[in-house]
Amino acid sequence: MDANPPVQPGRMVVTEVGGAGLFARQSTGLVREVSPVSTYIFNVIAGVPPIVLAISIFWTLGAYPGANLYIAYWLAFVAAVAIALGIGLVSSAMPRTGGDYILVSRIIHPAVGLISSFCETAGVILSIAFWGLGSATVASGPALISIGLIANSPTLISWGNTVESSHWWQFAIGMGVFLLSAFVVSGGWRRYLRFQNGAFILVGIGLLLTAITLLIAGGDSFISHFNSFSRPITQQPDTYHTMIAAAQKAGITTHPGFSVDNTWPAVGAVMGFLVYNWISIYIAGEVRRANTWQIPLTMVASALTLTVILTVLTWIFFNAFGGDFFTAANALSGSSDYPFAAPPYYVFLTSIAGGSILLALILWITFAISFPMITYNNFMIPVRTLFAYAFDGLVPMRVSHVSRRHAPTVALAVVFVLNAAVFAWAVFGGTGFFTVFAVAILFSIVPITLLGVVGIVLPFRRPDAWRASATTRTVAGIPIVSIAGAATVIASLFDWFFFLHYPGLGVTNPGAFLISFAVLAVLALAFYYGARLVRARQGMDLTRTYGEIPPE
Amino acid sequence: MSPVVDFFRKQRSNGLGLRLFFAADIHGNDVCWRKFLNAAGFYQVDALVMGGDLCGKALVPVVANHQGYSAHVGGETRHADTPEELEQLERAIRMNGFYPWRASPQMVEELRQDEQLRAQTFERVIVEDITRWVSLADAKLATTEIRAYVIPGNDDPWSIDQLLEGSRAVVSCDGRITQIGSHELLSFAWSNRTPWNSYRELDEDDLYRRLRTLSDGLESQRTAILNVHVPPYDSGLDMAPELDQTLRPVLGGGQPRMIPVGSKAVRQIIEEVQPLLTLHGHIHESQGITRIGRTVAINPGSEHNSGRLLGCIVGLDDNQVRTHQLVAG
Repeated sequence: MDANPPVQPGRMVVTEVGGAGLFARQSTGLVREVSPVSTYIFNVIAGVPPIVLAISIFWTLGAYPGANLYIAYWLAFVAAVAIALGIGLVSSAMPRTGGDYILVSRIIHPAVGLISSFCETAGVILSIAFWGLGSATVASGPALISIGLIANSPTLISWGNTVESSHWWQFAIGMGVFLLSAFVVSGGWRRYLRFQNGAFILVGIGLLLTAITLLIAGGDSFISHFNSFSRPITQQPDTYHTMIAAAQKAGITTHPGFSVDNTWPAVGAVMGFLVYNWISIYIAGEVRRANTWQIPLTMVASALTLTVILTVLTWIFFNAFGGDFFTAANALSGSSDYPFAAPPYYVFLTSIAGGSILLALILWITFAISFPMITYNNFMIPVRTLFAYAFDGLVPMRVSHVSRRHAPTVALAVVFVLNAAVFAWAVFGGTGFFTVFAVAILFSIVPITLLGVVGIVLPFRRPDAWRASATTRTVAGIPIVSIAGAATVIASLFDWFFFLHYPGLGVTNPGAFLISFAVLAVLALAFYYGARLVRARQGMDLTRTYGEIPPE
Repeated sequence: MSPVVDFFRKQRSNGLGLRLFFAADIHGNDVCWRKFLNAAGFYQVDALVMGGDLCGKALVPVVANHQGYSAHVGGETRHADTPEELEQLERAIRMNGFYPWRASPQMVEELRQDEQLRAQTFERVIVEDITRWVSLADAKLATTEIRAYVIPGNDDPWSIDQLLEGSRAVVSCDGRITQIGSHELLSFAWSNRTPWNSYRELDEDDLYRRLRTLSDGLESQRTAILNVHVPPYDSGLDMAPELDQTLRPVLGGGQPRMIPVGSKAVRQIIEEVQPLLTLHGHIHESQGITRIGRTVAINPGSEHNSGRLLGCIVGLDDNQVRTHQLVAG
C-alpha cells in the first residue's frame, strides 16, 4: 500500500554559518536551552562566594596562624583550572550525556560509574541538608540578631536567638528552602534559570554593596563606627582594641608571620568549594555548543570569577576591618570574649560600618538568598542522576517522567523525600550529622578523581569521540585531554590529602571515611548487579546499555 | 500494577517474540549509520528500524592548501598533512554529524557567492553519502536474515527515496505496510508543519487523512507497529523550544519557552487505532517512553552530533510489548 501521492521537489536553502567555514541547509532546528552565560552562572553558584566568605575561610586565620589566604586562593585556582579543563574536555567529547555517572560508566565501567554517582549523590544530599540548616543558623538567625542589634530591637534579637536555638524553627526554615527549591526545579528550565540568574544578580549586588561600603567606611571610620555600636553592649569605650587584646591573651597570634605549613590547610579549605566549577556537566545535555571549548572555558571562567571575588573582598576586609581585629573576631567567635550574639560575618561587620538599618537589611537579604540559590543548584544533581539511572534501566522508567513543563516530577519527589529525611536527622540528630557531613565532602571528590581517569583514557577507549571533541591537540604525543585528566587526578589527590591530613578541615577520623566509602561502594555494586539480575529475568541485558556499538 | 512492582516482575515470553532495534534522526552521521547496521549483532535483534531524518544538516569544506588540507572542527582549525590525517579529519567531521567536502579555496569562494551552487553541491554530497550508506548496508546485511526498515524524515530531500528503493538489505517502507515478524509495520515519514518549511510537511487534516487511509489497511491494528517520524502531540515525546517567525526561540525570563510540537493527527490515530507500539523521532531532545492508552510510544532521542547512537531495543510478543530498553551505543 502506498499512501504518498506524487510530490513536488522541495527547494534546498543553504547558507554559510557565521563565516566559520560551515554551510548549513535549512532544516528542523535544535535549540539548546541553556546559554553559555547561564552555564557560567550555574558553575559560579557552586562556589557560593557569600557563604564561603562568611563561614568557610576566615576561621583558618585563628586555626592556622600565618596562613596566606591570597596564596591559598590562587593555588586552589590552579587546581580548579586543572579540574575544569580535565572534566570540561571530557564533557565536550560526549556533550549530550551529562553527569559523572554517564561518563564514568561508559568510559571506565558501569559498576565504577555507580560508585562515582553514589558518592556524588551522598555528598550532595548531605550538602543540601547542610544548606538547609545554614538557612536558619547562618542566615536567618544571625540576620535577625544583627539587624536587631543595629536597629536596637530586642524583639528581633529575641527572634534571632529563637531561630538559632530551636530545632523546630531550623527544620521549618530549612524545609521552606527545600520547598522553594522543589518549586523552582519543578518549573522546568525556564523557571529554574530565571530564579538562578535573578538570585545571582541579587547576590552580586550584595557583594558589590559590601565592597563599596567598606571602601568608603573602612579603616579608622570602621573602628569609630564599631566602637560606637558596641558601647551600649560592652560598656567599653574601645571594644575594637579590647577584642584584639582578648584574643592575644587567649593565645591567638593576631599578626603572625607567613607560614607555608599553615597555608596548605587553607588551600584545602578553599578547594573544599572552589573545585566544583565543573558541575555544569550535569546539564551538559541542554547547553548550547557543548562539544566545543565553550564548556571547559566556561568552567575556567567561573573559577577565575570566584577567585577574583575572594581575593578582592579579602583584601577589602583586611583593610577595612584591620587584619588583627578580623583575625581576633573570627578566632574569638563563639567564646565568652566575643561580645555579640551575631557572629563576625562580613555582613554583620559591613552593616556596622554602614550604620544604616536599610543597608543592613539589603546586605542580609542578598546574603540569605545564597542558601536557596545553592540549594536548588544542588537539587539538580541527584535529580539528573536518577534520570540517567532510569534511562539505563537501573530504576523504573517512571522515575524519568516529566511534566509538560519538562519538570522531572517523580525524580524530584524522590530527591525531596531523601533530602527531607537527611535534613531531619541533621536538625534533630545532634552532633553526628556534622561528622558525617565532613566525611561526605570527601565523597564528592571521588567523581572528580574518576572523571580525571576518564580524561586520561578517553582517547584510547573512545577514539572517535575524542577526535570529535573540542581538541585533538597533543603535547609530546600525549593528547591534551589525557594531560588535563592527569592534572585533574593530581589536583583531586591534593584535595584528598588536605582533608585527610588536617583534622581542622573537618575529617577528624579518616578511618571512618574509609569505612563509609567502603559501605557506599558495596551498596553501589549491589545496586548495579541487583538491577542487572532483575532486568536479566525480564529479558534485558543491561550490559548492552553501557557498551558502544563497534562502528566498523 | 505499580511501576516498582513492575520493575521487579519477571516477564514471561512465549519464545516466539520479535526483538527490534529502533533509532532515528542520525542526520548524516556516518558513525551512527555504521553503528545502526551493526546494532543487529550487538543487541541480538531480529530487525532494524530507522525512523527518518537520515541526511546531514551542514557541509564542512576541507580546504586544500599547499601542505595538505584544513577544516574547522569543534571551534578550532585542524590540519591534515598525510592521507591518514585527512581520513581522521574527515572522520571527526562526520562524527559531529557534518559532511566533509574536499574543495579548493576557489571552490569555497564560489560556494559563498552562488546560492544555487550551494544547494546543488549539498544535494550532490547527500546523494553520494546515502548511496554509500546503502552499499554499506548491503555489504553488511544482505547475506543475513536481518533487514533494515528505513524511512526518510521531514528533513530529507526527495532524491534519497529512490536510493533507498534499490537496496537488498534496506527495506524502503515509507507510506506502506510491511510485515516484520508476526507484526505489521506501518511507516510514515511526514510531519506536521514546522517553522523550517522542510520537505515533507502537511497540515494536520491532511496528515490525519493519509494516516487514516494507511491504518485502515492494517489487518490487525492491535498488534501493529507504527513507525511514524513525528511524535504524537503533548505526549512528553514532543517538547521543543517555541520559535517566533524569524526562527528565534521565544524567550520568557531570558530562557526559551518549551512547548509540545508533535502532531495532533498522529495522536488521534494512535488513540483510535491503539496499536501495540509506535516509534518516533523528530524531536531530538525529547527522549522518552510513554503510554497512550494501551500503546507504548517511544522516542529514543538523538545525539547525532556526538556519534552516539541513541536507540531503543524493543521485545514484542504477539500481543504485548514485553521489554523496552533505551540504549546509547
